[in-house]
Amino acid sequence: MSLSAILRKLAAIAAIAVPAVAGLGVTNAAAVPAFAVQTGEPCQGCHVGGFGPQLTPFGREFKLQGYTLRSNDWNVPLSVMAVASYLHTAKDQNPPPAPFDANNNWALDQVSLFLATGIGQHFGAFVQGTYDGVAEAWTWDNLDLRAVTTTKFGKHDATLGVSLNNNPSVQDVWNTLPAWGYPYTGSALAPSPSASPLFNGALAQASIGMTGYAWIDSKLYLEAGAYWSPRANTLIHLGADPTSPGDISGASPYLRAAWQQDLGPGTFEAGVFGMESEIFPGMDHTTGFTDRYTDVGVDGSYVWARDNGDTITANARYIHEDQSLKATCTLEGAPIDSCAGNRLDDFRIDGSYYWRGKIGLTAQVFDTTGSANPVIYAGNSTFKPDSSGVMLQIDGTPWGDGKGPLGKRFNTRVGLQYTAYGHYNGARTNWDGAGSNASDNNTLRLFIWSAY
Amino acid sequence: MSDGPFHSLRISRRGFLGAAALTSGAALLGATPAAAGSKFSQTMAKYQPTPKGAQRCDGCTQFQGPDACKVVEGKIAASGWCLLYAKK
Repeated sequence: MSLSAILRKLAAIAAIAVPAVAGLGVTNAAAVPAFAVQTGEPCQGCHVGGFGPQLTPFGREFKLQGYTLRSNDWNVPLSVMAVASYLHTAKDQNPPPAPFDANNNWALDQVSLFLATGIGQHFGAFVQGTYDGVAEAWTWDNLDLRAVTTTKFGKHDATLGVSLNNNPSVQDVWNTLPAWGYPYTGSALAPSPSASPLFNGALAQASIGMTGYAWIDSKLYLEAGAYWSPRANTLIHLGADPTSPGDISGASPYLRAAWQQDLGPGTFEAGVFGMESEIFPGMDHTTGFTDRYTDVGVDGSYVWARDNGDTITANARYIHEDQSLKATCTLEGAPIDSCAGNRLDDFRIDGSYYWRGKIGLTAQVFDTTGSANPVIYAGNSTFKPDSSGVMLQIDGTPWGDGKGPLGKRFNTRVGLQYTAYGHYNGARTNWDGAGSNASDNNTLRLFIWSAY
Repeated sequence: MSDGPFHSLRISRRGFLGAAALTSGAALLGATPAAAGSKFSQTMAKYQPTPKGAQRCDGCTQFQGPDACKVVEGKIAASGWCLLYAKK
């Protein structure tokens, strides 16, 4: 089959599925011991609980300074990471997540290789390639290449930086935005609500962007930039699907501002962000229309490292998304006036307590609501996108202090996650019209996550 | 097509990347490199000349006695503390 024929076939599928599956199956696991060797710091220097990706205030500063901090002359700038898990759902999944069983699956979720290094005083690189053990395929993963310098504006110290990256918000240093938000590891085998704002990861590894930022007095963060779609052939060679969600028309502007300061015994942050994307769904240009997604949001976080080695964190974000799905509605043969205009509101908040940097307990509440649409949410009995629930995690990280038996480079985390749904795809009960309840998707996941 | 608030953004990828590269290059050449790079300034590290509880610079893996640090610039007190504290 020719490339164009494959694209057409994928486009036909994606045109129906993409608006509903934005954000599905996104995992954000990353842990980079090469940076621990470079900085001379143990993992817990940069990461809450001694394991990535939740950053301490120092970890944020290290990233904003372009990964350039170095306590040695040189080190091997490579790391490897693996995540494996066991997944149980309250009821068997229907259809099963082929080629896996309908329930009780063991899986190698991912193996990642990292190039992670600072280069001199002005450049740094974080490059991740991942073998997806569920899809059994290699793909490019998170990319963040930075150039930085420091200067003064009058009495104010400023770091100026540029990030070339492939995932809107992967360059952000607070764990409130989607790329590095909780949960910090997930499974593509787990059931996942079908509706999510585009900003929640749909453009991860499907776009390339460049943003410039200013970090002033280690308090005010200002960032602006834009994202584009790489060529379809390029994405295919990188292991990504160019039709999901489709190609961006022109460029998608990205704006971000945040304020961070010491507050009480910890560090407080509050911010705003926004992005607008016009997308030809499934790369289908035949309608002459695009789907437009306008996302605006606010976020806030607090981290308190106690003198006894315990750490308390809180992260929250709210996103409002306006959709104008003219292309998808036209492809579906639905009238634009009644079909295209939709909205989604997505709120999530999590809090964690890490005892001595070794044992962590995290709880999150999430709630997605939106306008009903019988075309876009045809598979939901209420035609609504609403999903809500809680996600709990307990984990242990014995060697986040860098004093493990295999040296500073080796780190591992074992954890248990439980997700309970109050609503799933629009309803508490019978969400699919076939008798399925939200709680049928409640998921228990045992994972082991190691890095070297 | 559509008419969003950012709709007029029709910059080519090559054009933007080129402009960004030029801008960042100019910034790198033109700005005064104060403390960028291999060490943090004391401000970035939130250095203080006094200990934080039992945590003191002379108990940290990064400390280079009598008064320096591998990762923080300037003169460092043995009794000081900063964000990068890592117990020996």
